[in-house]
Amino acid sequence: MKRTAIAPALMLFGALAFFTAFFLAPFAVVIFASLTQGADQTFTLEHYIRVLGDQYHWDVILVTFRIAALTTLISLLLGYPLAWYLVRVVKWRAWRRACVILLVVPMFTSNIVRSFGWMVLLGRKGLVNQSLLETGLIDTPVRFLGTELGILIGMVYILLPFIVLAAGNALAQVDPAYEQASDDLGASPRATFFHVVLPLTMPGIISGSIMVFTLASSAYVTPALLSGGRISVLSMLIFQQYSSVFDFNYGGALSVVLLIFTLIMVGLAGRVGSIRGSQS
Amino acid sequence: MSVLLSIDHVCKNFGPFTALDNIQLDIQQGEFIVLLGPSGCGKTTLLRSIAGFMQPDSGRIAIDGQDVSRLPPYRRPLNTVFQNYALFPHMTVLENVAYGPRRQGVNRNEARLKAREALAMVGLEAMEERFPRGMSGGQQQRVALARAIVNQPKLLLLDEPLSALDMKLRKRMQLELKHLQAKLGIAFIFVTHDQEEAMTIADRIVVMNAGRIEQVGTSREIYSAPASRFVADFIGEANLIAYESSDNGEIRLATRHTPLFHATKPVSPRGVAVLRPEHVQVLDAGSPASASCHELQGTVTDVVSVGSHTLVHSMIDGQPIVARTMGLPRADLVAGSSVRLGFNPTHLHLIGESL
Repeated sequence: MKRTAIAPALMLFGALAFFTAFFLAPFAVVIFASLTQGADQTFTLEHYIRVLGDQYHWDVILVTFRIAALTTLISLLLGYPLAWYLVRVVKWRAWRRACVILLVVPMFTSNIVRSFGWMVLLGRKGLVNQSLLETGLIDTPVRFLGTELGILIGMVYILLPFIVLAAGNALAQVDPAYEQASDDLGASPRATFFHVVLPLTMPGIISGSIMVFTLASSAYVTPALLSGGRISVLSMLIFQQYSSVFDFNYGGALSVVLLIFTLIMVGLAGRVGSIRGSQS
Repeated sequence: MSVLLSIDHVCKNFGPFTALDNIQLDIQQGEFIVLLGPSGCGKTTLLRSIAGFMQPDSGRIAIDGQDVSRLPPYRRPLNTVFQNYALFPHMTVLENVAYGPRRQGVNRNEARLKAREALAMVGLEAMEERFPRGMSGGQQQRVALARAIVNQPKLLLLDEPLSALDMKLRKRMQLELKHLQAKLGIAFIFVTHDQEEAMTIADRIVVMNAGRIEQVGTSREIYSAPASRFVADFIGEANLIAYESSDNGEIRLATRHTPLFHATKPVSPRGVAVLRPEHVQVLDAGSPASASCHELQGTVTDVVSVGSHTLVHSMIDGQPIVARTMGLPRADLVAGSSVRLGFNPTHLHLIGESL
């Protein structure tokens, strides 16, 4: 009895130690730094006052969360139909597997490489502008780089798989009998989707969205490369403070602000999801 | 009575497998029909074709004279009780039942009113705020029933709805379904593989095998005059004894020592005679059989008693015969002992071999 209890305890200890050393401890350091000042480390709220008292920071927070929200929304609008296609439409298993691989393989490549790829594609003379010009859809090149549109394109590209996998998983778990029951009770395919399939896949949609939203609001590489220095998001300000200005106290305060805002947004999303899930 | 549902030359294949082989069936207004057969016989395929979840390869299905073969399920004037109920897990009981009327365009309050009426019909009015997950199988069954009848369909399809319930509850639900059907006056088509269940509830039983309809009739007709060897064997227990008939109408059974007798109506020259075990008597040693009774001599092979009745298995001229006697077995009936059996030839039902 005793010996069998040791192994799980050891494993648990290992996981806890790892979690403490590499997550909790650094996090505590960041919080501590954000609340102190100078070599004697006196307590102060000065950094937070500096962050929240400045209109510039509010603008950056707004841009950060606007990009994250739009990324989530667009990923959802593109990803859910794609998940539907993979789960419900594709009958041929090999093709479905090929699609999933196409979806997952880019994740093995570094974000930096993929974002650089988009810089090339979205440039003034990039493939996208060339194609648009040649087909006559536009007369002058569209400026993607250095705009929120460009950042959005890159972010959606990188984060789309998360929604597709989460929504696809949820869709695959909906028993077809529910849809047949709805059909049998006189609901059109459209009504069946909105009253049965969508509510039943809502948990998957919410979890996928939360994942995409948190990743998008804390993303650094893609916005940094595609912003062309014209747009700033919170993660870029934080990086600046830590890597160039070396103001760990102020950088810490910015990090904590980002974390708190993200948690608030995620909390709201979870609440909206649970209300819709139980009422419809 | 007029024809409500008319199934006309319906065929369905799954690759090389024939699920429905030229099905022809008319169902009257207000009838309780049971589709009975072993698994894979096509009964569920037929039900799903009527509901519209499956498209027959050929043939026509009409409800009230209107061809519904090409209509999607949501446009057909019928409802289904699914095998595993398929209650929407994200809705309360009331929302589940009100779903039908809501989708038909009934406003919220009226839909709730109708749903409460339907729930009252199945005795579940106190449960409307519960979620299906927290209910027993029997309660879920009733919710599924309420949800299916709330739209007042002309036809209710039930796909093995009682198969998940335990024996006692199942028996009670059979009678409740029968009463509910009589009260509503709508036609029920009920799929089952349980012949006892079928005989309990059906007005008419449709016996299916290998994609074909073997026989349609009341439980009485199907039991006492099975149309085929399959039906005789599938419904209840039967002694199947090969027979041959001579030109002058004399019937000779495979049990060689059975006296000849004359058929009352013309029969095919060859086939099987069906003799139900309850029509075979175990005769007391010494006492002669009555005049109308034919006597058989044989050896007991097994005696199986379930208390209320006993099955005596014996071997007569190489032909196994089962007799059913009331109550517990006689003490002298043990495997290996010799036995005298008697039966009245009027109880024989002859099934001619199709040539």
